[in-house]
Amino acid sequence: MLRRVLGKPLEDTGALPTRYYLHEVLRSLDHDNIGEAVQLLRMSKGALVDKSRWEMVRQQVIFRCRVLKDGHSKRIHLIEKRIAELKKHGKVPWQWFQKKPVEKLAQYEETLTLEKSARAILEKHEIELKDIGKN
Amino acid sequence: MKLLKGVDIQPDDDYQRILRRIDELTVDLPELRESFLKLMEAGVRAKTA
Repeated sequence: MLRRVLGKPLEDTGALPTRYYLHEVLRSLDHDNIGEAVQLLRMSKGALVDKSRWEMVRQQVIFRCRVLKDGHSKRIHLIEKRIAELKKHGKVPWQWFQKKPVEKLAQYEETLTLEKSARAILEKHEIELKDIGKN
Repeated sequence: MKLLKGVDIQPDDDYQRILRRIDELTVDLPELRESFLKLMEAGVRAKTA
């Protein structure tokens, strides 16, 4: 109850107990909301009481970042392979009767851009998390 | 691989594969690494019991 009433309005001040922030960080992590988790971790630094718990949560977020990044890298590799195949065989006559290669290629390229951008965001978050740990 | 030190597992075991992956991902995350290792050890012990 107290968390719900006072939590959000006071969150930005960094005046809440570390436990509050860490609980919220783990909740963000459950939803793979890495951006929010990083922001909360940063805010919680000012209210630092339990350094070891904070450090453990920070490492958990970094780990999740890496796992997600790995997933994006695998998909990027797969999409790049498909694009290369499509470009190579795109003009084979029997394929003209299947899905339009140009449309397919555009879809792949669009997905590739999104995947790369997601990976770059996670990369940025990971660097940020390492910096928070140093200071 | 340091993470595997002291853990009794076969080379083709799934645990081996998972530990290798954890090892790669937690090189600079010592506390988390330790925690994972304890969990994995408990898992291996339960499996062999």
